[in-house]
Parts: sequence; structure tokens; C-alpha cells
Amino acid sequence: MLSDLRYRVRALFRRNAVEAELDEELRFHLEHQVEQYRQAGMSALEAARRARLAFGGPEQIREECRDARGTRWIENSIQDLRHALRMARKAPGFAAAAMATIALGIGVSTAMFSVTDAVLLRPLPYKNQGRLVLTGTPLSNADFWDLRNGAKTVFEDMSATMVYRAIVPREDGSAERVSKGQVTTNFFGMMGAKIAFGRDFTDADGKPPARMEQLFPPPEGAIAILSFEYFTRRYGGNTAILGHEMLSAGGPGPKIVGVLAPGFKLLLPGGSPDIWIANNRGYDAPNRGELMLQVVGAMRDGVTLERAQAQVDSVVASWRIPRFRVGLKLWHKTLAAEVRPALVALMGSVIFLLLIACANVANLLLVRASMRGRELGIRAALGAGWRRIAGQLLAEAGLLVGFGTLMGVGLAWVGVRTLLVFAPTNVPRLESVGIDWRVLAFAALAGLLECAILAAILAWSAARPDIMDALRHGGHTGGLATGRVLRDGVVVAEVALSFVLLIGSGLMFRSFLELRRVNPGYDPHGLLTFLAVGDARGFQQPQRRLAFLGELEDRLRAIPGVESVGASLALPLAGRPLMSGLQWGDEEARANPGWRADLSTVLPGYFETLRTRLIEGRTFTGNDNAAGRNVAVVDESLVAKAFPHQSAIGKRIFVNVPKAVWLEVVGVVAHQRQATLADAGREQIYLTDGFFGIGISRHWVLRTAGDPAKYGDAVRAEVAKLAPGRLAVTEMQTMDTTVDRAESGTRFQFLLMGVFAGIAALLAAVGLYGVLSSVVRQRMPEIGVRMALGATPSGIFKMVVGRGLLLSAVGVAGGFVAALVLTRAMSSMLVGVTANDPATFAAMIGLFFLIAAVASWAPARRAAGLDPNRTLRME
Amino acid sequence: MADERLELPQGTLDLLILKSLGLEPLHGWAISERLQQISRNALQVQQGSLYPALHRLERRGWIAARWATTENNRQAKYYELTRQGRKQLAAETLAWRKLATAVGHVLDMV
Repeated sequence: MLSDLRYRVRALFRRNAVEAELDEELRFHLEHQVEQYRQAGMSALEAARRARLAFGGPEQIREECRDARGTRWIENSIQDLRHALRMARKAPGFAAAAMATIALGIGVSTAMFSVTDAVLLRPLPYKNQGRLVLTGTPLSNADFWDLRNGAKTVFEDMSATMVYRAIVPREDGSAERVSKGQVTTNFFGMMGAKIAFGRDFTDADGKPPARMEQLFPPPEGAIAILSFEYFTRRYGGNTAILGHEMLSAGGPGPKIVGVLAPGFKLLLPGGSPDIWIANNRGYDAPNRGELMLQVVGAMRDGVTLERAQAQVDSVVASWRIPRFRVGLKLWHKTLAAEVRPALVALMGSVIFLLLIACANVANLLLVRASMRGRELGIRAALGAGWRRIAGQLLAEAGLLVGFGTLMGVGLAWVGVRTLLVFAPTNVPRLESVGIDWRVLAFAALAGLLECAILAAILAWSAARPDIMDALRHGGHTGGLATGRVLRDGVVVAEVALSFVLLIGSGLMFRSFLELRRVNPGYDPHGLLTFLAVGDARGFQQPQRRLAFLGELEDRLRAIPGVESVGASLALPLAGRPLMSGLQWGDEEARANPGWRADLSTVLPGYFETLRTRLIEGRTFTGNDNAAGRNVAVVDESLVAKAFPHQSAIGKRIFVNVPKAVWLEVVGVVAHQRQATLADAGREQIYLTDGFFGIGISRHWVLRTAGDPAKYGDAVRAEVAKLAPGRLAVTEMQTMDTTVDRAESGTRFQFLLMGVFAGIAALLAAVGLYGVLSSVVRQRMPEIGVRMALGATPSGIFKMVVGRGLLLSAVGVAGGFVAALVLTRAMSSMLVGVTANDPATFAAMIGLFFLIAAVASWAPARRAAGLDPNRTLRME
Repeated sequence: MADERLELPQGTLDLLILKSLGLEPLHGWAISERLQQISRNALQVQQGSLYPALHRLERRGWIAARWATTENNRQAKYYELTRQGRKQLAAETLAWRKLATAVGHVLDMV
């Protein structure tokens, strides 16, 4: 085997030496043979003749020896590649156009793939990644322990996480915002997280302390592990902090016992914690109602999701909570669930784009092959085999695709950077997007695919030239009837593909317009929002908090230009409201519970500041802002559901968060778009901040005159004057910015799809143009005859344009059918339009025929302007 | 005279080359001479067709080539059997004998 390889390598790379040796060897043989015949008494001439006769044709022998070397196909390929290079140099414009088209297709699809791969395809970076499930509902500590103990048959292990934001003081008196995660002590072990320094949590870290009354901050005696990134940022990577307590505002902070290895991230909504605290609340039966934990389970090997779900259901049933169900979802499926449809649609689009680009290059090559009909005919006449000609065309295609792919990878590198700049914020794992070997492999595969398609098309059309025909017609008509049908087919496919993309982008465009037209239930212009989080020391009594907040409100309102001030637990599109069970009125509704509503707390003046329309009754007053006042403001959608066609004022509703209580409805306001702009979301209930105990509403909002962003410094200054170093102001931004970010996902999809569709339509137009041009060129004599027989230029013009429109019509019809099916996959991305929106389809058909007409224009003009005398003489 | 010569069955040329190299390294012309001698001119081998076969055998590693000086002080390419080639020769000889015997039996019986 090895000697074989060595032999072939030598034959390939020392080709001249090997050839010279062969010549020498054959000459040696002949001379000996001649010598032998001479000794037998023949004349020199006769001896030479006989020797040659006995030997056989030297050139044929040489060829056979070359074949025996087993390197023939490589030599041919090299020869073909050289030929291809020569051809490319002879027609640099053609080569550049083809390569640029390929680069475009490969570049765009590779860039998109790198995003899709990082976000959707790569497995979770955890142990047991395929078997990890999440509970769809948050649970309490008691629920978690019940579940963990009750479902051991199906779960290898189960742990719980809770992520929240916190303000941590620094040694110099300033404060920083961090993300904290409370996890059960088995969490890192279960996830296979590596500890870089110190130790992992132990069971002892989870033992509840003697005294424990509130959830935030975590109870005393907490143990912490830092993320490597935070450890480096905050402590400069100094391991001396291990075993020390962190600085904390309200008392002794958690003790640091370990540091995670770099790169470990919690891939859940809410972000990955900087500081991980061991959950030491134990079973905690009294707080059974606090549903704050995200539970993660690792199913045992071979256990199906259905079986795990059944076991969880039986545990949950034992809690006897009506209508309460804990649904399990595979983690890796939920991770990018929100962005999956968009990524799939975009990935589909770029694959289409790749195919369109390929079709375009195929068309270019076909046109050229038809022009080279004569050359190929001559080669075939000289004895070049079908394989040899096909191989040569393949080499040309391969060369173009090869360079095109390289350029495409460069383009992808730029493209990825651009994508990341515009990408919406809700895409997980974006930071890991980049050009790695998987992405390169994709590019290579895409290149090979293109090469294969081109080769197939070329081999079918051009590698079987009818020799006589090609020679006779001098390559003008090419004689390649199959070539023409094929070229038309390629253009039709191109039109169909790009039409689907146009429809997709049209739907996204309409969605974007619809989204901008949505009435969010408030006036976002002129609002400045921020989050204020403080140090709780000295503010244990509600009265002190009330006084403090009152003064803050006064100071903010006193800033010149500020018209009104409000605060809420969760502003629209920022922060999450609580979720409560909801019941109302008569026995029937109470007997049939299970309704849920968003529940938020606000300061009096909130609705006025947001300019949320009051529909009925009144909003909150200062008097309502107290613990005993069981009054609520609800939104119009709750009224529509619970009290249709009647006044809601004075009606009573029942909520179970933060405690089970009946509330009196005093006012009805317009519905606010809370979680997203696209979705109406749940019904809303508002309570006063005082009802919850004062100080819960930390999202502040200011109605200002002029540009709200200008008031940021004044707000910070007032807060600093009121409570130096005690209250941190973060997340300051205008409401317009918040709304803008909420639109970013749809806008991103619309922009990308628009760009893709634009490129696709352009390529299709170029393809159409190319085909019509070559048709005109090939039919010049025929057109000349027609004109000589009295056809008018306008008739010829109509004939060519008609042909372009006919090809487009066939393509559009195909694309129409495909789009009807494919756009359904986009349904979840659309806002206010259906996937088969007739207006969009109609508009795009019109647009496409316009494009087709424009593309047909120039070739048609050329045909109409032909001089019959000249064309006839060309024959 | 040519009519009485035997055409070589497919693949036997390789065996004959290996056999002729069994005693000593030879160059191409000498191999052709040796073949004629051994077969007492009964076999018809076009001399030139020897060379593709030699190159094929060399690629397979059954024979090795080296340039050496002849008794007439000329450079010539000598071929010799490799260890693998010897094994191949033995195996092919055996296979050929078996085949020849079997075919002989059949022909005798009918």
C-alpha cells in the first residue's frame, strides 16, 4: 500500500524524470533488439524496421505505461484546472461576475448559519444535556423537595435555581449591580460545572440557619461561589478572597468558598449570575406560596419526557391544588424557542439565496457553453471523450466555486459582525457566534453542493454536443436545444425561489407596519424610566419607607421640566409583573377557578404619568396607598372577561398573591401591552404600592417636557442628594428606547428578509436578463429574417419582452404555490397579518412583473434595433 | 510461423514476468529474451507490452527497479523481485497449476 503511494507520488511530482526514464528504458530495449537482428545478419535498416515491428507502437506503449502508473486522473485534473485558469483569464469579467455571485450566496448563508448554529444547533454545554428538563411553572422550596423526593424513579437528580438582580456595595462606598443566583447545593455537580478555585457547595451549605424570615436578602450564613468572570472583574483574580465574607449592605454577606471555571453560564431567561448563593431555605413549609424557583431535572437514561411528566403529575396531584399543573419541557428545546421560527425562516431564506446564486452562475456557464459550442464540437471531433469534456467543464465550475467560496467566507466574516450589531437582545448565546470549524465546514459543504449542481447541469447540457451540428452552425445557434430548455428551467426556478423570498419579506414588512400601529395603552413619548434599588438598612418600618419615597417623589417632581412622576413594580416592556390566580363574583365563577392575571403595584399618579386612559371610575389616590386598603384598578380586558356589558365599579375580585384576599374594583383603565408589543397578553390588576408594604415599586417613570434623556443627570443628582450612596439608579432609558427595543426583533427579521429578498430579486432579474440576451444573440438571424419579411421593431420588442414575462409567469406561479405552504412556518413571527395575506401576495406579484419587465427591456431594445441587412449577412 | 504461437491468456503475463525474475534481476530487454527462451518461442508477446506490465507490477510493490550498469557499460533499468513479489509468485504459480490441472482433467474426461 505504502509502496503504491510512494510510487504514485513520485510519478506525479517527478513526472519529467519518470518520463525521461521511460524513454531511456524503451530506447535501451530497441537498441538491443536492433543489435540482435544485426548480429543475425540483417542490414541496419532492416534490423531497425524489424525491431520496431516486434516492439509495437512506441507512443501507444508510452500511454499504456502512463496509465499503469495510476496517476492519470490527477494529471488530467491538473491539466483541466490549468485550462480553466486560462479560460478565466481570457474572460475576467465573466469569471469575476460568477465568483462574486457565488461569494454572495455562500457568504450570506454561511453568516446566517454561524448564528443558527450557535443559537439553535449546538448542544447545551452541560452534563446530561439531552436529558435536562425545565418545569414550565415556578415552584416553591417545599414543592421542589416534594418533587425531588417523589420523582426519583424517573430523575437522576433535580435542582432549583432562582436568578435576581441585586445591588452590592463596594469598599469605596459606591455600589454595583450584579446578578445573583440562588441554587440548590447539588446544582453544579448535576450540571457538570467545573470549580476553578476553592470548592463546590456541600449538603452542609444548604442547612437552614436558625433564624429566617424573609426571602431577600438571602438568610444569614449563606455560602457563595463566584463566576470566574466576576471573580476577575471584582477581585482581580485574587484567590485570597476565598473563605472571606462579601461586603453586604444589610449585615454580614455571603461567604465565598469557590470560583467557577471560566465560561460557565446559566442559559435561562434572566441572564447568568455573577454570584451564586447556596439555597439554604430547606423545606420552608411556611412559604409554600412563594413560587420563585426554576426547577431543573436530569431524567434517567432511557426515560421519556412523557414518563417523567406522568410521574411529576402524580406528585403534583398529591398537593391537591385545583387546576395546577407542572409541565416539563426539554431544556435544549426551550432555550431558543422564542427565536427558533425566525432563525429557521431566515436560514431557509439564505438557502434559497444560495440556490438562486447557484442558478445564476449555472446560467452564466450555460450561456458561455452555448457560445463555446464550436470549441467543444472541435474538441469532440478531435477525439476528446465525453468524460474528458465533462471533466473540463467541471474543472471550470470547480475553479469558480472554489474561489467564490473563499471570498464567501471572507464575506461571512464581515456579515457575522454586521448581524451581531443589529441582532435583537432576546437571542440566547449570541456571544458564542463566530466563524469556527463547523461554520467553515458548512461553507465547504455549500461550495461542494454548488459545484455538484453546476456540474450536473453542465454535464447534461454541454458535454454531449452534437459535433456535426456545432461545427456546421459555427456555434451561433449552438445546436443545443437541451441547453435552451435547461436555461429557461433554471431561470424559472430562480424566479420561483426569489418570489418566495419576496413574499416572506413582504409579510415581515407588513408585520412591522402593524407593530408600529399597535396602541400600547400608554404614550411612550416624553417618558424617562429608571430602576432604583436601595440599601434597606434603617428602613425596616413601613412609615420610614413611605416618608423616604414621598420625599424622593417630591424631589423628582421639583426638577424643572418634569410634569409628573410615577412608579411601578413592572413598567410595560420592562420588568415582570407577578402572576395571580383570579376569581370573581358569583358562585359559578368561583366554582370554576383557574383564571390568571398579571398583578402589579403602582404609586398613585402612575396612570396619569403614563397617560393610560381611564375608562371608568377613578385611579388611586394617596389615601389608597396603605396596607389595609383593599382596592384595585383593573384593565378593560379583565372587565370584558369578568363583567361583560356592565359597570365593574364596586365589583369584587379575588386574588391569591401576595395573599388570598377580596378586592374592590375602583377604576378601569386601558389595557397596556406588558410583555411584548405584538401580543395583547394577560388581563391586568393593579394594587397600590402601600398594599404590598411600601417600596415594592422600584421602576420609576417621569413625564417630562422636551427630550426625556436630558433629565438623566438631574435625576441622578437629586437621588444622590437625598440618600448619598444608599440608592442606586440603573437601567435609565427613555420609554421610546424601550419600545424601540421591543420592536427590534421584528425589525431585524424584516430587515434581513428584505435584504435577502432584494438580493434574490436582483439575481433573478440578472438571470432573466442573461437568458433573454443570449436568446436574442442566438436568434439574430431568425429575427433578421422576420424583419426582412416585414416584422416591425415594436413587434420584435413585444416578442422578447413577452418571452421574459412568460418565463416570469411560470416562475411566479411555482413560487406562489411554494409560498402558500412555506410562509405558514412564519406564522409566529407575524403581527396583524396572516401567513397567506392576499394583499401581500398581490403586491409582490405586481412588483415581480415590474422587475421582469425591466430586466427584459434591454435585450428587447437590442432585438428591436437589429439591422436585418447585417444579421442576414452574418449567416 | 506466427499462427502457431499462443496468445497469452489475460493476467498470465504478470506471472511469467515474476517467474523470469525468480533467479536474478534483469532489465526489460533481457526479460523479453528470457520469456522467448523459456517458452521456446511458443508464446507471442509483443515486446512493447512488457513495459506497462512492468510498471504496474512495480506500483504494486511486487518488483523493484533500480538503475545499474550493464556488462557493456550502459545504464539500464533492472527489475528484481521483492519479498512480496516472491510470495505472489508462489501463490500465483500454485493457483495456475491447480487451474491447469483442473482444466486438464475436464478436457481428458470428455
